[in-house]
Amino acid sequence: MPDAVKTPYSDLPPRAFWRTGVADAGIFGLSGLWQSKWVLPADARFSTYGSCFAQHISRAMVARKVNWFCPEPAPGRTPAKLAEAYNYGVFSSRTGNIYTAAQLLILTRLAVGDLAMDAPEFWPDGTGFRCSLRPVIEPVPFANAQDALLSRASTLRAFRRSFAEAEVFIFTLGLTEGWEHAASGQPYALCPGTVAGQFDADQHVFRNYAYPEIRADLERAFALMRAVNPTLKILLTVSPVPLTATASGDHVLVATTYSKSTLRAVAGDLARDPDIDYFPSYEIITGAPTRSAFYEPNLRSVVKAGVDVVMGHFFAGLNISGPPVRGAAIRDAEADVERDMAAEDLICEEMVLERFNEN
Amino acid sequence: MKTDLPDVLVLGDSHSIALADGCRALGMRVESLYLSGNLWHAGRVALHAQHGFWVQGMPAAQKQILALRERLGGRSLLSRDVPVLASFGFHLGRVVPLFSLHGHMAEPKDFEANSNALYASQSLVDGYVTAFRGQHLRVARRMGRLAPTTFVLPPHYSTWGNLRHFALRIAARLQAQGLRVYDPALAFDPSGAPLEQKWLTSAGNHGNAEYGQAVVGHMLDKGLINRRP
Repeated sequence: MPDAVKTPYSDLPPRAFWRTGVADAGIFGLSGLWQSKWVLPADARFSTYGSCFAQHISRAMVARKVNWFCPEPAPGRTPAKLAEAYNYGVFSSRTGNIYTAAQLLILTRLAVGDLAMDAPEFWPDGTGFRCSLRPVIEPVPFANAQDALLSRASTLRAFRRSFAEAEVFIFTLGLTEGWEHAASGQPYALCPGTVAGQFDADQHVFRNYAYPEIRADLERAFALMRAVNPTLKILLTVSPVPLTATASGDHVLVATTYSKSTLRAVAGDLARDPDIDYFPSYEIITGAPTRSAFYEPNLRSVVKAGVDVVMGHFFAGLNISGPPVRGAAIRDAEADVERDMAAEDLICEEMVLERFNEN
Repeated sequence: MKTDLPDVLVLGDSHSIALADGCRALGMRVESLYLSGNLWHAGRVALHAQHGFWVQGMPAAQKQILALRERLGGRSLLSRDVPVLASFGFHLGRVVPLFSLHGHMAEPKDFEANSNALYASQSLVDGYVTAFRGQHLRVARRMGRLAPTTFVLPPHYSTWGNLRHFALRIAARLQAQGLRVYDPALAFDPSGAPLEQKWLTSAGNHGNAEYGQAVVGHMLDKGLINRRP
């Protein structure tokens, strides 16, 4: 009998075959889904942004004590409810959800000074203003135009730091659909009039960004970031959360598949760059093995068990075994402030006690 | 029993000491109750139906309150016929350093001058004030219904913008509740500059007796407090 003919598939590992890699393994038996391209320093800083699914990454990093970089934290000791209401601790800075590549690009241009800080619109709301780039970042409108502008500038300072001073910028691609200003081309975070602002059919136009535009916007945004930080690594993911609604004219199921497929293709192609990687959160949640078990009954929101599986694969593939780059431990600023306050308290106490003794 | 009521009751934290000294220096009849800013900050000083104020778990302070009541002819510390100068509710040294821990600035000029600073919007600062001073503001509102009260801002001793900003925001919240608030800083420097060292104690964060006298003098001139005939 002749020897079996060798083919390119003959020596592939089990993970390369659907039966052994997926069907037999089942949801909780999947392995080797992702292995980071990079050996990162043990104290590598990770910045996280993107659509709503991205917030799970930051939470998981904090829970695992991985170095999630947050250059725009809430003021010290802000109560959790207040911090949450003001959208602190969700992404590395308070950009709100970045659904589209166009949004990422405009934020990056603003952060590096490629666009004037006051160029994007502010929307009047009652006696105050909303920022068109992050219309619901605070529970009430900004008190006045200056308040709104300074808050935007503050977030963009922090956004700049989150790529200037991090090792890895993690970005979760969310949507291809978005809205722009007809004349200026400014992208919006949300369709004006849905949550804030007022819709004007003459000024606000629907865009379903195609592969070439998305890729070009991402490439330009990453180039601007790398001009500031040439060693920055980019890790892309695609959100598995379907569209809430589509303005494309297609059925929302069809529109979702178009949107996610396009984003997945862009991410995959960009990841050919040695400094860009792709992590398959989209596949883990939406793949056939799950039979949609990782979705809530609305078939949209992802359940915690799904997030846990995603993050389990993330941490399994992450390699932070490199030597640390930041040396000495960070000084505990809060402890320093506590000490100063205690010293001041002592002065106050002594003044009061001195008088008390006179009575 | 006939009681010589004081012209004013000075009530508050360590900043009230200079105010009481100032009243005495100007020949006013003064009663006072000083309680550590830490007690006020921690919310341990509460309104009391009978005594006016009470401090849970602090026998020494309770004794002070009872003795003061005695001197007021058995009145509550808060009564319609004893005006109160109040210096509580601010306790900025317990709030502002923590708020500023990560570089947040509430003053636009401070944010713009420091490229590492973060900006805190007006509504965020209000939320922070509510979180840490909401209870004090509620006490102040109820107190204002029980006694004619004037709140006096702490001395403006520092160029640190957040400190002054929080003082003014808390003052604005007190005023919004219908309370009378006096800001001594403007009498010392209408431009809003911090006090000169000569008005401060050696630690530099409290007004001295001369400062207290000047403040009370300004308040008398404005008719915010009066000597009894």
